[in-house]
Amino acid sequence: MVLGLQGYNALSTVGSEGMLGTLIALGLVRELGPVLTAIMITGRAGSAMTAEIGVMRISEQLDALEVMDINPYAFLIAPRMLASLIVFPLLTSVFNVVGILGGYFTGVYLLGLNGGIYLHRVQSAVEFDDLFLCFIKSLLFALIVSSVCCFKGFFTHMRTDSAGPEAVSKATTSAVVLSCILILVFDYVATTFFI
Amino acid sequence: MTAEQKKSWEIRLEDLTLGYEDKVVLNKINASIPGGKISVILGSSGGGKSTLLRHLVGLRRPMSGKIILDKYDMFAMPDKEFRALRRRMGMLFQDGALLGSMNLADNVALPLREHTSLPEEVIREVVLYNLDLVGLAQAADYYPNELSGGMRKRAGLARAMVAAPPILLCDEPTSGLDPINSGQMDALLLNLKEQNPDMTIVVVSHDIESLFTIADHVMILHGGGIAFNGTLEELKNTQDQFLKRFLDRETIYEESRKEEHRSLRPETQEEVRNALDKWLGRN
Ligand SMILES: Nc1ncnc2c1ncn2[C@@H]1O[C@H](COP(=O)(O)OP(=O)(O)OP(=O)(O)O)[C@@H](O)[C@H]1O
Ligand SMILES: [Mg+2]
Repeated sequence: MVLGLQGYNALSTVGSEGMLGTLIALGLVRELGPVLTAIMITGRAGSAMTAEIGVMRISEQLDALEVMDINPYAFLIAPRMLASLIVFPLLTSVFNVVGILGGYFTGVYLLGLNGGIYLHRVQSAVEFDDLFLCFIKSLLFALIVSSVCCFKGFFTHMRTDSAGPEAVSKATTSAVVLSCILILVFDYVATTFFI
Repeated sequence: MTAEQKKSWEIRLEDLTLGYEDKVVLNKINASIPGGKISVILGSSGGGKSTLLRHLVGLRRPMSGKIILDKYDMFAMPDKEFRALRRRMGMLFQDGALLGSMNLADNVALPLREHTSLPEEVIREVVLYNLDLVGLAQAADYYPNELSGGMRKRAGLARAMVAAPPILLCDEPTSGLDPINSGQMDALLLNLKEQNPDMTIVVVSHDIESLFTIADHVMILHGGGIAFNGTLEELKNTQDQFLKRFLDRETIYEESRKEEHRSLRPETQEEVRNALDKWLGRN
């Protein structure tokens, strides 16, 4: 919706408010959808992954798994990666749809654009390649976030700056920060590959 | 079961040096822990008991020296055989180390579910039998965070026992437990021993009372080395002053009572008293 307001302002200075649908749809599908969704999931679920696995580390649960000869990668990490690979694209699609509807609301109800034109622009702007890029990005971010968050938790005991519960909180913070940075970096990389 | 598997497993430590990064915790120790007995490892806090146990179960590699189980040199084996050897060991961790995301029954069933293709009814039966053994049959559906520390330890023991390992390692099974729970834990270990006469049980503890109840064999760690390694009888009859003091809290208590402590300066006492009076509204 903010994109709608800002976009409307910017476009109206050059007299092309009609392009709002294009701007919002492409902005969302190509960039904002996958990136913002990934950052939100990192804050919500990624931090929980790190904290959970970190607590398992300091309470010797991971040692217990090793003694029972259970592979922690297969037992703990693989299911989380798989879940991320499913959830990231789904939530990204939801984010896109909600964003486009939000743009419709701003543009049509608040700023008085023609709804039909907005939707037409959305429809004609987004091509298969854009959706494909969006999908690839969300999968890429799923891999980044789940692996960073799982491994930060898994190696909580290797931290040199702290130990015990404090190490879990530090691991969680650093997992979120690193994930967000990597999301932005790889977003850039993925975009350059596709353009 | 073949004759080879049936006999008990002895553990030998040869020139074993253990530690973390650049810190040596135990230096060049030599000892043997007899098979088919309950051995208790005793030592002051930070003396390296947990460290030794973590190496015995192969969670860390020694800095140098060997750990020999029966006739196998644990850390000189290919990974596959090493893991096969480790399957022979069950471990009770200090706080049970049950997986927080599963209830007790699933926790205890885990080794069987992961490593065998037993049908679900059989697993269920074995799990309930083992939980019953540790007095937790009623708590099968509870999650670890819904249990007391003592119950978690007992559940951890049930999980360690479910695969019937010939070697059982326990890290402080009675620490943090009230006398009743401690007594139950001791009884449990003795029962286990009775039912599995060939099982080698190693218990880390600093609970002197439980030492006298359960131990056949005792090893005392002190100052990076082994201060004593022998049977409980030998320990009881020892003339060594250090060991006697170690076992006898009474003398340490007497000595500590006699120690002189410096007291606060009178001006400081006065100042603090005034400040507290003010805070408490006494005047
Ligand atoms: N992960 C670790 N990294 C570095 N040093 C450690 C680590 N774990 C333990 N230590 C050190 O090794 C020494 C022995 O620790 P250990 O836990 O084996 O003692 P303990 O005999 O089990 O004591 P307690 O009775 O308190 O459990 C201690 O000085 C401790 O500070
Ligand atoms: Mg310890």
